[in-house]
Amino acid sequence: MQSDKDTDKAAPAPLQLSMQDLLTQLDEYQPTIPDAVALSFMTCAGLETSDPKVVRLLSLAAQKFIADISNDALQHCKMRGAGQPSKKSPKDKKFALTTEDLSSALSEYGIQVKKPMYYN
Amino acid sequence: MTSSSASASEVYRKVIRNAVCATALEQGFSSCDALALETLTEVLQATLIEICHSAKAYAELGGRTEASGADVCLAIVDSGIRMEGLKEFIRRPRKVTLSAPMAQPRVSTPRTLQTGERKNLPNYIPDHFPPFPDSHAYVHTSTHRQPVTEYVAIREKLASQKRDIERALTRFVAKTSGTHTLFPDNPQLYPLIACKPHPQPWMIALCPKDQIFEDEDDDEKEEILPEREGVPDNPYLRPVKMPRRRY
Repeated sequence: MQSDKDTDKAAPAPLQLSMQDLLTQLDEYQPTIPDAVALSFMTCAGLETSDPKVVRLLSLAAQKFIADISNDALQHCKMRGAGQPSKKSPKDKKFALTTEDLSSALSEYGIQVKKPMYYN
Repeated sequence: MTSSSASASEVYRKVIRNAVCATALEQGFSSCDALALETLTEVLQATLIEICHSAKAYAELGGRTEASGADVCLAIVDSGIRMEGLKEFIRRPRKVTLSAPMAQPRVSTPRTLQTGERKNLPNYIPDHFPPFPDSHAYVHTSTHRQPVTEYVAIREKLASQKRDIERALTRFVAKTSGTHTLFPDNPQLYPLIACKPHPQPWMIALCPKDQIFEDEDDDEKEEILPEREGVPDNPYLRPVKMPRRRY
């Protein structure tokens, strides 16, 4: 319920307000990509910051991008009906992330992936 | 330096790959192609660095050296990632967190031998410069004593060495063979090597022992002969002896 309220508020709010909200939430957030790794990539790109929230925002955005792509790939996979039924409960299907699904998902984001000819 | 940085980037890459795996797991995948995983890893790394570059450009545009949250937000929006979903993404139900990579155990360098005193940096060198090394690293020190070149000293040393050698040899021979004592009261005082009397002492002088000409000549001949023939005396290789004809 809380999250629904927040999204209702955030959607019409200006970018500045929603960003403040987001940054306050980032304080308690444990990112999947560790801060140290994200910080090293930032240093690699020449970006300096003293705010840990910026590092987290960066890793969160990148991970969100990957999550969106993999979600699209999952939808492609489901549409193909390629899931393997799991042994315990036949209704739940196991999905494997294949290059085929990924390339079609990535093409929506403007990334063209071609499977090498020799690669089976 | 190069190898350590290469290994560090490998470790970061591995962590990034783990993050991709975790994200795919969160989305509902249970397995993954190696190629697809590698592609997603590359995409994630490229996205991270691209956002960083873009954020840096925005920060510099704003006249700042450090990026603020707004810069990163603009960069994220610029790269086409939807900001609206980020808040929901924070509160997603199945969240997998990865532990930060362990710090590599530092290889302890063995302590170098401390010799001399370390000087403090002079005033005109800033504090962040490395300290002075051991004073012996740059101060001239003579490592050896100069050898004695005085003639008298060398002759004295040579004489004392010669005397020591003779005494040691004499003692050795005196212990292993017969001795002749100079002082009949105390045989241990100054033992001399016993002289072996010969029945005809002049014979030794008459018999030339050092110059043996005949033997040497024989040896030379023997050595030369097999070389000339080239093959050792082998009965099977001798020329054939024809039997005598009998009529």
